[in-house]
Amino acid sequence: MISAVLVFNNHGKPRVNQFYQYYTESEQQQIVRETFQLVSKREDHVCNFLEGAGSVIGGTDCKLIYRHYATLYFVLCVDSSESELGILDLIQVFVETLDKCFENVCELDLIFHMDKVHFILNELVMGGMVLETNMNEILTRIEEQNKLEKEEATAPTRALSAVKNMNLSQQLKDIKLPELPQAIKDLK
Amino acid sequence: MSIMLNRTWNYLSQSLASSPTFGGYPGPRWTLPDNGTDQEDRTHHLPPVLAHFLQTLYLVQTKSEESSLVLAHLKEIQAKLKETDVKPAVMADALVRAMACHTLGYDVKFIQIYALQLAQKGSILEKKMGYLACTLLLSENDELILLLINTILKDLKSQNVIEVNIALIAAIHLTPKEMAPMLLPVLQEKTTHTKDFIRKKALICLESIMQKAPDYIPSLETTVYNCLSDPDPGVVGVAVQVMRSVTLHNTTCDSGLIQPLIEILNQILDHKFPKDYVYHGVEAPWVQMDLMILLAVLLERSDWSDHHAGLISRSLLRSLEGVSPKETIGQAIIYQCIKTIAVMNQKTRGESKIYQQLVDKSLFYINKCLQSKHNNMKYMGLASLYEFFRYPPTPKLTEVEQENVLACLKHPDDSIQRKALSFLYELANDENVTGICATLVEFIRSSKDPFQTEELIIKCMQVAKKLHQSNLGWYTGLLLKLLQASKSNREVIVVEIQESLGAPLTDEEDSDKRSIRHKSGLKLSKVLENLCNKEKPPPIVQRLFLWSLVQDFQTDVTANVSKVLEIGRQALALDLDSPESEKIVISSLDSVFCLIHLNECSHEDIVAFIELCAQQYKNPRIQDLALEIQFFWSNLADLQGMEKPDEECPDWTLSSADEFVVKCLTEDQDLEVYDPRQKLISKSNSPLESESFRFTPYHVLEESPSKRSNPSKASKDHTDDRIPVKQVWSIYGRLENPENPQATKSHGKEDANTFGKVDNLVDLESVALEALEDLS
Repeated sequence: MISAVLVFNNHGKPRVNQFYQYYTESEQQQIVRETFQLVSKREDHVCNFLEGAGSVIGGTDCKLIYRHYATLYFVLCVDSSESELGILDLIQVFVETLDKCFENVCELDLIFHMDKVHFILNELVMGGMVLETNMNEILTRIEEQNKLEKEEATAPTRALSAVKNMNLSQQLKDIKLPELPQAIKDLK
Repeated sequence: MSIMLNRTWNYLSQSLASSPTFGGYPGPRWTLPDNGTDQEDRTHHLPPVLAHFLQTLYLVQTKSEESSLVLAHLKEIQAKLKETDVKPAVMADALVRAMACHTLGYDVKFIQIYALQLAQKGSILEKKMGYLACTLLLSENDELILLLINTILKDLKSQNVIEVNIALIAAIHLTPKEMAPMLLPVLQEKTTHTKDFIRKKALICLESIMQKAPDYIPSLETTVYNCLSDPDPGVVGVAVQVMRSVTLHNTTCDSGLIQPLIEILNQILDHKFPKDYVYHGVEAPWVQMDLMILLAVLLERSDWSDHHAGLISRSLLRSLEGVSPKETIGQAIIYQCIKTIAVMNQKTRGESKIYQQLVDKSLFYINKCLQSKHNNMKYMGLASLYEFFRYPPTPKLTEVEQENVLACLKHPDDSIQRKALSFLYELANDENVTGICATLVEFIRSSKDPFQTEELIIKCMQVAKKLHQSNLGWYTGLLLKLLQASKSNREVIVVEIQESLGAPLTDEEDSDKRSIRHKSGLKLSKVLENLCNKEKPPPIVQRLFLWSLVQDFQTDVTANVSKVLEIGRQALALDLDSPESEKIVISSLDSVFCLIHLNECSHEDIVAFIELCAQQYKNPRIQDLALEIQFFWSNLADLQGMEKPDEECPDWTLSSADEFVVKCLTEDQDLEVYDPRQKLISKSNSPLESESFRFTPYHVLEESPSKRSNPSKASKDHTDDRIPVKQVWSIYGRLENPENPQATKSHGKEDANTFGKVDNLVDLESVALEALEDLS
């Protein structure tokens, strides 16, 4: 089970925090700070797994699996039931999905579109369990929601333009009535 | 027709006027960026004020600037939201800002109620934003959740798929434990929904409520089992994960699940899953791994046959052959395979050829990993090897492999060192235990992480305890080193030392063992003395030294007494406010007490020391202890005539003190003594005895249920029905032959002294007076 997903930058400023267990606000910030301290000390060529992570999160059963991309650290706190390398690849899938959704994703995207990032994360991991690993599926979900949002946003304009384009006089002229004499003849 | 048009036109114009796009406050618009926009354009999709705020937040340099900006902004938001007629779009915008501030660590509790409001009404977009804010800002323990539960339930039952989707995500985070059973029927229904993503989310939701409230939820096995045969492979993947939770939650496991799981695994390996699920050349890797995890759990907890073993082995072999260890995901699958293989190791007798092939492949891979330069691979190699060691019989490691493992101990990477250390405990046996413990002690001394240090200390103690083979000298030395290195486990270690050295030896033990123990004890004493003579010895070492000075292996009593007194005086001279020095003084008093029965010690020093302690008015504990010792010393002769207390049958009722207590209460304080027996007797004689209130003493009820029918009769035979307590004490002191009460009654003399005859109060009085004189 995944206890938390944390994304912070090289200075320790949190960008995305999602916790799947209950922690108070101060505990959450402490977790971010401690994780940053542990992870920033690591050099680049060491392995991506950290055990015995601090006193607040999880205790002895918690491992930190992290990846460093340019200015951002993506850290997942998992317990022993998850496969470490699998989670490492999950981080890769997450970043690739973000990349597809925001072209060439960077830190600014995470700041300006925080809610969208959360929506993507919710399609990937839910309740501490891995929901979907197929990137295409996740993107389909996001696209569906985007379409819906576009529709909602543009509904009034579409309605307005549809009414404007409704040229009644022309339509009345174009009405094709059935040939009455022939119809009467048929009746007879 | 014109009237209709008119109406339509009016309606449209009204709705447009109030829409966020054309008038009023611009609401958030979440659209995908177009292709080829550069960085500045990214903000154009957001309303300008919001974008400006977020950008400033990003660019701010110092913490104080940030906090002043955020706090000012939050006040603005609060004021804005308190206005009447706040539009949902405005609320959504405010929520985005509040969430950004919350991520940075600021308190935004005021916005919770608005988040709730937005989730309850508003269009789908606004609902989505409201729910998102609720999941981030609220928790299931908040009282506001009660307002939201109905909304979630309503949305779950809605026809709109998107609403159901959003509600499911919210339900996981926000359902309190008590409400979990309410959601159960809806969720179970959703697992058969037409849309696959709803089914997946419903399954995970079910799993989370099962974790929260396991007692309220019936077994979900059937629901999840049905989802295993779902046409959508994503749902199958999730069902496998959830099945693992369900299996761990159940007490018994059915091995009937193994067959269907293997079929799914084979289907994956036969490329029957859609092409979407291929990741870096591997078919549905996460589903494969989840299947292997679940199989490992089932292998551990259920009974499985060789047939199952054969099937599993074949599938695992196929899986192993299909992946390349160059890809991370390939390595992940191999690791998971090895884990499952290791579990099978327990029960397979190694006869199956396929299983043997599997084991060989695993060990080959592990070797490669350990020799690899890439740190992740080294780590995984160690982890995989560790799995084999968890389930004996362990395969034999070659010399090369052992060297590789030991080389990892000196690796600069912290995580790899840790993993290798955890190995050492497993590798320890009788021959190498001293070497391993020495390595561990080195690590403990050089480690900077306090948690790791304590963990290692405990593990080292366990290993040494198991394997020290009566090599007490080495064992005590090791424990002493650990004591000095440890910070939070000192008491445990001290107890261990005391147990191993101080346990009373029975006569059956060899005289060899006794001499070994004596030697080790003396050695320990010397070492402790050296430590105490240094400057500022740690208090626990001093206390241990004091303890060791009074043990039976000591020979020179006089010298020991003077040492004890010296330490005690030193501690007294220090400021006794610190609990540590108080403990030292108490320990020294304890030691003095143990030594005073020896006539060789010089009395004056001891008396002076105890007198000093007795005057510590600020420290009542020390004072009390000193006064007690003084009292005992003055009655030393009497005490020495005493027999050792019989440890087998102590008199818990303190029946000997009864007469004394009765006398004090009746005479000195004129209080009535509670005597159930007497009361019952008086009650039965009184004419006012009511049948309804039958007071039957408990011991009567306990002993003989047949007597319950005649409580009054039972009360008269009170003496016979008392719980047989061994009469150990009488008013004159200890009985010479403590016997059972029935036997005791036959002795006439003792009868008069026992509690049985309270009627003879006169005799009692004189006897009690005599006793009091003796005591003073």
